[in-house]
Amino acid sequence: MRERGATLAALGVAAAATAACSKIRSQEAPPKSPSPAPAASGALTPTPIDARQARRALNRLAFGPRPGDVEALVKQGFTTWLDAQLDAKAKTPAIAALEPYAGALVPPDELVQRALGDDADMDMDMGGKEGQKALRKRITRGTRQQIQTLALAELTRHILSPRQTHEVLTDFWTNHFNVFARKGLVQLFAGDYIERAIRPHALGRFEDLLIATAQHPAMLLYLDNAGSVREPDVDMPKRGKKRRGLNENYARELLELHTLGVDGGYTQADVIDVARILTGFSVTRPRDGELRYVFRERAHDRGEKKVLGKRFPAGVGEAEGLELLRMLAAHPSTARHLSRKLAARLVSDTPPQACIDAGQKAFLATKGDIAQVVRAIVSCPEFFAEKSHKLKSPLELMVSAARAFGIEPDGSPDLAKTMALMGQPMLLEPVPTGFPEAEVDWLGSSGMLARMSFASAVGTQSLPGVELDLDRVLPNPAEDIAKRTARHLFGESAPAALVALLESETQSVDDAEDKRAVAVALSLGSPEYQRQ
Amino acid sequence: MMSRRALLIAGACLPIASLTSGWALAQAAPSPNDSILVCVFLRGGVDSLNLVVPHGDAAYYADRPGIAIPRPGKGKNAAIDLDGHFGLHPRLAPLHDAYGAGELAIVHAVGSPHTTRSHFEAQDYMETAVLDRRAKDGWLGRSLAKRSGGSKEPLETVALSNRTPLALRGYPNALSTPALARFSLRAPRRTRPALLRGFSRMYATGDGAIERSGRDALAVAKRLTELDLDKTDQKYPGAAKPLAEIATLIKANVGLQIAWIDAGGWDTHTGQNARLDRQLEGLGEGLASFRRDLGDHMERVVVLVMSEFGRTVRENGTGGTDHGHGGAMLLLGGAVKGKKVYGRWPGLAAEQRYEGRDLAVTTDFRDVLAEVVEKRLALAPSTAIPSHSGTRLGILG
Repeated sequence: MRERGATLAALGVAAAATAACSKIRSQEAPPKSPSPAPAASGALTPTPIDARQARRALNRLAFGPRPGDVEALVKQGFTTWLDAQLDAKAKTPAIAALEPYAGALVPPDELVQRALGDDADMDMDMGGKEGQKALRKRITRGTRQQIQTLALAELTRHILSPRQTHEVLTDFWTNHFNVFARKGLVQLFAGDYIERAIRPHALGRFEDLLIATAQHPAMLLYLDNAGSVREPDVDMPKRGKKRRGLNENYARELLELHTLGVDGGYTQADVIDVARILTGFSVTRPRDGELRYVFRERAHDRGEKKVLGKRFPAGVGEAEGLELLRMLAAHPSTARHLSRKLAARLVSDTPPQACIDAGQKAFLATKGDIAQVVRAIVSCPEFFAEKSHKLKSPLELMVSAARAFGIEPDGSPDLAKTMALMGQPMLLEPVPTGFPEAEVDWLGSSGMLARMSFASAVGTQSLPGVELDLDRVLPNPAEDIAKRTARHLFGESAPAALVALLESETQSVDDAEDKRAVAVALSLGSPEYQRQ
Repeated sequence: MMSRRALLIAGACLPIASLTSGWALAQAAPSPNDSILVCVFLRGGVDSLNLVVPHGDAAYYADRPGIAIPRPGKGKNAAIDLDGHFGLHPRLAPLHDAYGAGELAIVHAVGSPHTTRSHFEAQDYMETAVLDRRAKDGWLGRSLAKRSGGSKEPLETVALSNRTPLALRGYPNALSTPALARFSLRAPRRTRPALLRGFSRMYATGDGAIERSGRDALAVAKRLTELDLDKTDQKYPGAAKPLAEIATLIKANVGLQIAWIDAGGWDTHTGQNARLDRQLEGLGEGLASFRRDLGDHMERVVVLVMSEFGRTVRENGTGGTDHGHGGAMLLLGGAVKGKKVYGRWPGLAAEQRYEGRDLAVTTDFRDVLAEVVEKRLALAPSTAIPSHSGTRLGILG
């Protein structure tokens, strides 16, 4: 134990997420928040917690424990740890391994400049349809690598950031507000989207998060709102014979996926009026010289609208869009929908109603303070219940394995390919629902085989795109390696059958390093390690 | 055991008992093992007007001065006449025999009623067969989920694709992998035997979904190593490797019922003729090799070739074509009533086109899928393609 801690300290990594954060707010939070549901009150936040519970917390509210994390959390107590993790104002410390990928996070304008090279200005002025088309093509081509680099930037932070709950929630919201990076120019905006729309609000207020996504080019392009214009389009310039008009795509997903939920009580008429309100929420064009969100007055429908019974009077511009978004963010259906989805991520695929209710209540009482909703959900007893199983997504498998064995991306984008092989190509899920959460959606046989192959690559230290040295984590590979490996991943609760199997298979190879390779690969590829 | 066929028929009849559609009792439907469906999806929107050339339509030549395929008889790169109005692209010449033998049918001016010209939207629609972006399962996945229940062969449903195609989603038992030859545990030679054995032991027992799935994966991998996928007498072009793999599965009688192949590279905005030549050489020679390779097995097989949309009638400024609307489908196999181009030809004159620029759609793609579901999967079409009651073209016997 001590030796591991020392090794990690030498790597310049805090032993656990805990150390970096202070205890502020530990007493004051939750303020007047109603986090415990009446039924569950008193039974929440079991402090002290045991190693199994600590492991559970680290597998759900973090991307899995690193060596020493479980012990540190037991020592610190869950509440203190959680307070620090939920601190929305904490800063993520600089991560050296992120440096090679940081280029993917710069604003879109800078990406364009890089894609076009020195003659960027000249190109931007190219007139005519053909010129614009050629320009778009060059931008698209020049930023194609962007997607993989961005995936690596995300992976690197998931693996190394001490603000683990913030990372988990960043992944959750990136998926909740999914965009498909390969649609048109979306790839140009995806990094900016995660960096400036999602991450700053991942533990903050849902309303801010919602508005940030609603006014981001990535979302507006992905769900076609950028080109949605009021009907009839009498004054709008015609593009050939293409009829322009209202596009309901974003409006529908906004209600169904982002806020109210499919059973949230809206009608087709609501969808249409939401789309009308959001006409004008658009994106500048490459030839405008800068790339950003813009409100287009001329595209906006200034008529009267009605959404969920609320009247939006005629003659209002961008402000009514913001008013609508605020209304949706505060709606009880939204509170319920988001609480259910967060509970499915954090507790189980079929979370108990009490858990959902607690989250919904906290959401409404705190005006959508995401950290408080998370707190309420993980305060329900089922969070720590042994039977609350969850399957790791491929992302969760990779990141947890990386954390357990001190794996860091090596500056190349190779790890993005491994994610694709495991069935979760980051930023490339075409459908607005994002990647699935439930076990049943991830359990294809090719996915399982890919997991075993991934585990084998880690064990044999042949995973492309990473720096990995098992000597640092499991030195002296000849000594009792089966038991030590199982303990390393599962602690004292390592299943006896697994240990026995590791014992016999490690004996079937002679070389000491091969023994360790077999032990690590089989442990990481075991059914037990696929669970969170 | 109670035959799967009997179960199927019983199950399939229930939902339609009260319907009076043209869908008769399933007695004529083949049992699943006699009925193999191979779907080839040409991703990117194949230029259907150069695939199956309407050489009898003058507007075709008027709007494609640089890229039109010459009328039959006009040189060696001319279209190969089918019926006096349509002709095959010259690189599809290897398929002319199948057409003559009545085993190749074409549906032209087929496509989606949806107006989108976005690849991924159009593909989604074609794969879910529901004109709703939120549909999460595909037409095949939906069908297969309905007829599952008996013991499942691990190689019953195979997609050669980077990801499970949307068409198969909704059916967790579908195996998808870019290439069967690569479906194996990847590990260095030194430790591979220990790892394979270890994982096999680890997943051998246990009723959990994870254990079952791992067990299936290892069983499939094992089965595939026994098949010797590289060994085939037939010479396939490089691009048709997936067809060769599927042929091996069919010949080995491993219980394959549905195969799906993703084929990319059809988005020909520039320099179309050279690119399409290459692409169609792979497709034409590939399908011809497949047919030769399978021999009598072709009686059990229907290959359905489709793409998300066709392309603009007029060639663009860079010797290519842009995203259009109506397209074409090919059906190949013993059960196909071939030697015929199905569908009503809307004409290519400006006023006959969709939005003035594209081939109009006169046959809803769901009509074809419905017929495939009915005749090849022995299911009521409504189970696979809800909310669409179209007409049948009668392409499948």
